[in-house]
Amino acid sequence: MSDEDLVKRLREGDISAFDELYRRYHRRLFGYVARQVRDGAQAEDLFQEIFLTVLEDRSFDLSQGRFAAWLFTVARNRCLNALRSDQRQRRALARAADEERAATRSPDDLSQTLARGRTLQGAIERLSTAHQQVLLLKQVGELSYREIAEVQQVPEGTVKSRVHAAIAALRGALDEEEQWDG
Amino acid sequence: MDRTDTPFTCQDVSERLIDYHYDELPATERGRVARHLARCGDCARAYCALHADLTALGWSDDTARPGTDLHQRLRGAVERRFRRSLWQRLSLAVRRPIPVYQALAFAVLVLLALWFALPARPLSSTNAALQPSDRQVLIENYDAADLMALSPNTL
Ligand SMILES: [Zn+2]
Repeated sequence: MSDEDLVKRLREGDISAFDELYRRYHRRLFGYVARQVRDGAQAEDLFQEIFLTVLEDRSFDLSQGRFAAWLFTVARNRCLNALRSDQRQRRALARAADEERAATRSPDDLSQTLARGRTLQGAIERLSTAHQQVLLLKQVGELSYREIAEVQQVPEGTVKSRVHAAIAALRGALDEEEQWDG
Repeated sequence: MDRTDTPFTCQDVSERLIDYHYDELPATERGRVARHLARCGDCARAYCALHADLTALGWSDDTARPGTDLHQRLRGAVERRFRRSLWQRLSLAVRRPIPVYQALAFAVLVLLALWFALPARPLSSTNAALQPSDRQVLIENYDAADLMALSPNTL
């Protein structure tokens, strides 16, 4: 049964349809959210909010399909809003405490939360937000190029070239890291 | 222009490894990449390296999974928003073509058939009460036009 059929059944009151949607998307959606916001509890709140918003939004035409793209579009917007407000909060705190060093050292952009190693982090930082997003949507969200194109509102070819460029940059950084370790 | 049965070169495969990994190639190209990987050690190693690098990102691991209670919490919220009212459930149950309704319809038909069959019994028992000679007379003199002349007992 398609995702869209499940949403339809849920809206008719069949709660078991939600269980199936949760099974299909919880790992991918939570991974996507958790890798952008720092806090586990905040990630869980956002995850719930995104899921409920999408299920309740009757403005979306189910006959057109594309539930996954719709879900991740809402997720991307909510995460960016959360990151922005987090950034504002941190800036306010930094000002209040007059911690100039902390203020200048906390870019709080997506890249910082995405990377493990320092070199890898550097490589991710050098990517544009669009490239970072495309890689997250592909690698964690497991969306197709077509679905990512819908989320980002760009042609499919642009998505493909962004994915290729982002992976090439990251692989270059990993090679660099390996050389230093070696 | 590429013919679909022409084998890919290492360069062709190298350009397509990422799309192959993400299952984004058309079926014809996917088969040609797979055939090339099966016989070319260099490209097979390059593919393994790509796979390992993407794994090294650590984005596919199990650490970013929701807590086990999140499903139940979210399910509770979903139930509160989407659960059917009693009236909705009843109307759905009535509209649903399930075997029990077919059985009910059959039972109603049987009852109706019995209803029409039953009134014949008192009439036949009345006829049975007549003497054989009387019955013979009735049969011999039977005429639809003379029904009113018959004994009221036979009607
Ligand atoms: Zn080769």
